[in-house]
Amino acid sequence: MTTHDHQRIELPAPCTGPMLCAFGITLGFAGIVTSWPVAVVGVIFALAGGVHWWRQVLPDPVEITPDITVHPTPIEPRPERVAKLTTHRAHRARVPLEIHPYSAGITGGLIGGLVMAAVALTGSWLEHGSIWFAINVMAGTAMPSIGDMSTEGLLAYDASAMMTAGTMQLVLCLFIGLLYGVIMPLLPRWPVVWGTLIIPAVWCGLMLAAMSVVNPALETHIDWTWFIGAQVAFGLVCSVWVVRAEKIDTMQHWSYLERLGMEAPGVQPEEDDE
Amino acid sequence: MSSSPVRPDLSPPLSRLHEWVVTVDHKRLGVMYIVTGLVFFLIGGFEAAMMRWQLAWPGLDIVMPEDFNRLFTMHGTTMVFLVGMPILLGSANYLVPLMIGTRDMAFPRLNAFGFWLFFFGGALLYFSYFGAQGLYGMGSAPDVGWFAYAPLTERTFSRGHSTDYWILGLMVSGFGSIATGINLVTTILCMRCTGMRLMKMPLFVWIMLVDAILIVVAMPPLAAAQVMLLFDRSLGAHFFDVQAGGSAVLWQNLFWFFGHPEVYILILPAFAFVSEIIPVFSRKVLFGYPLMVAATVTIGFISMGVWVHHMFAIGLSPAVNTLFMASTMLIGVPTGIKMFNWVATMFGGRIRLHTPMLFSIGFLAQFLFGGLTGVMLAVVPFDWQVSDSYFVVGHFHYVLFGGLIFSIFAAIYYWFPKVSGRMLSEALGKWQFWLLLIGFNLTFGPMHVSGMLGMPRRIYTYQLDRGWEIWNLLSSIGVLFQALAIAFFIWNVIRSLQRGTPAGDDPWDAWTLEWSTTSPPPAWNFDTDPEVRSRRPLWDAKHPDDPDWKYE
Repeated sequence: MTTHDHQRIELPAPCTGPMLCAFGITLGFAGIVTSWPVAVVGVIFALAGGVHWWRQVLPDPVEITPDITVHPTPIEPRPERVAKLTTHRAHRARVPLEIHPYSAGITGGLIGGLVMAAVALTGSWLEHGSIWFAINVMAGTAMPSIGDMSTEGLLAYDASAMMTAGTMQLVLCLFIGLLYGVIMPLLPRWPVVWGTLIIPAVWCGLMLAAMSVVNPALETHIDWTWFIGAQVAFGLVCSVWVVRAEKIDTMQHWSYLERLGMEAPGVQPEEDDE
Repeated sequence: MSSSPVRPDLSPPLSRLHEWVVTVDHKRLGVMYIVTGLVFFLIGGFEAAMMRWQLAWPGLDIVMPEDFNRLFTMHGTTMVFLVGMPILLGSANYLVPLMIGTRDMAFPRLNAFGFWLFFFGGALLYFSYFGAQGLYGMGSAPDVGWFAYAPLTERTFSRGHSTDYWILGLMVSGFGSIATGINLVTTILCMRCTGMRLMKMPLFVWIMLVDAILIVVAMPPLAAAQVMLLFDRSLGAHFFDVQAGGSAVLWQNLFWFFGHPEVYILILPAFAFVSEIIPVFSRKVLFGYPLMVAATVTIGFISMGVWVHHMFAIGLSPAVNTLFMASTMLIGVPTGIKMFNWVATMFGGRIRLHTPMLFSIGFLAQFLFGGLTGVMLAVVPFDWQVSDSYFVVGHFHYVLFGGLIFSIFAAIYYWFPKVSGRMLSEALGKWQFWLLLIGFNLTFGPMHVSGMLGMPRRIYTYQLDRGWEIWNLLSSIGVLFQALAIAFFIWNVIRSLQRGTPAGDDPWDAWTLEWSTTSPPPAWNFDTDPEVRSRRPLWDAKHPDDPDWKYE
């Protein structure tokens, strides 16, 4: 901001005209709801105010020259420099900045799925004397006929149930392993605890609520202790596997050239030696 | 011609009064507008408190039914025309010339004329409490609601002169608003200081420009409708007399063609206040200035095309309803842009939670709530369900009280040091903020529930078995908190005027031109004509090493 010096200041002079005119107009309208003499007085006031106002501005506006007695404090430049916003690579970044490779999630899911199956089959063998019980019951999710089987039937080997349960286990573990790989970098503080306890707990709660719809056969025959144990085993193995994998950069701050893997001196910022 | 007027030989108090009565100084007129508006705020608040007392519990008989009708009519009329309008015009009067670096408004005497028309118009309206009954014995103050729906305003249904007082008082005051609107447009377009191109104006000035244009466009249709109604009542015309071939819907169209822009005329200054306050107390530049300007202009345009959403329940065709439903929802887009930009301005800033900022944050939250219920009401089937219920009352109070009044208090706490040279007490200000926040939400939040439960607005009392009791009781208890908050405010102003901390020229380390002159500013505003190069001239002066003009 700069200013021009040595100006002559003139201001419009105070004037009763506008107030009188406004008062007169109001009285004029008030006459409609009171009596005509009020309106007449209003018109007189309005005319008097109007004439006074007219004479204040024509032929030349009446102005006053004030005595300049006060002055604002001059604005001094601030001694401190403007603090610049220093950005680092986390500034306005999409988190996470680094992720685990998706392959770690897939591998973790497969290995976790094997461990999970082992726990479930162990439970089935200990509780029912047959590993096929767990496999058949799991297949019931996709095979409604399983729900009509007798207990003896559930304890016996069934090829179609084996294929169905195996495929389901494989696909589910692949996807959930991939999901673990994606979300582990987002989880705070102790991702393994989240992956081992919290996520299985949420999953088991969901299954508890939805089991009657998803798999009535499993709901009838399920042993929740072994079910939860199998989920925890999966979570533990998968999350540990994922967390142990080396993180990779998301490249969101990389330039287009860097992402392409090109070397372009003069275009890319030079690395600071320090 | 330059001359010194002869000052009448009056005693000091009368002399000071005379100085104020004859003044044409934009700052004094601004203060007179605001003080008058605040006095009417107390009157309108008292009327609201009486209504809440009456409705606190079923079957109470605190006021008579006909007095209740007068109370809600005068409360609504007062708050819209005699509180919101003068405070916004007063703020623009005081601040616009200072912000654009000029010595006064373009037409100083017209400015005084506008104020006095408003003042006498308001006085004429309130004179109805004495005049309408005293002279004719047919009722007292107006009792036809603040929007005075036809045909209840016809002579057949409204005997005496109470409705005439409503017409004449608002018409006179409306002429004053139009005069001031014209003055503001001319001042902003023609009297900016050197270097202040349109896109270098503070956002406050931009918003006031759009607001003044809206006033000039929206007020004349109301005046025309009022003249037609006066003809109906006094000269035997039949514009709105349905039985004689007139149209009650015509009144609604004319009134709401004024009435909905009026809502934006009232709320735009709130946007202007917080657009100045939030950046200063976040220590950041306003986020997205060009988009904020575009949003303001867009709101101005769209606000002229949404009025039928007040008339969804009267049986217009589905095509018309759908069109205005769409336009009403559309206006949420630029308003939403503003909300995001205010939040983005705060984001990452060094926020200082002084009282002006607290009220601004209160504005953001409550206006957002009111805006969202507004979008709900824009949906025609929903509107049919809750039309004329307390849900609508809750909605528009979140906009006009939670939005406008909170922003007015933010503005008062922000600019009071400039106007008076004294700081308002922060401690008392925070007491006021929290009491008002609690009281406001306690009063108007439950209204959404009672409205959804079917409670119609404007009813004098209700039966015990409707399930509305607790919500009404809560609403009425909230008024006590609000009254206490206002008491804190009055005490704060009186105490600060007497022995408040001297403010200095720039107590908030702000950036617009009004802070470059003394507090209070002299009659001539600036010793020398300012010249600016950016939207934040004081920043440039304080930080010559990193001025804004390099980046704008």
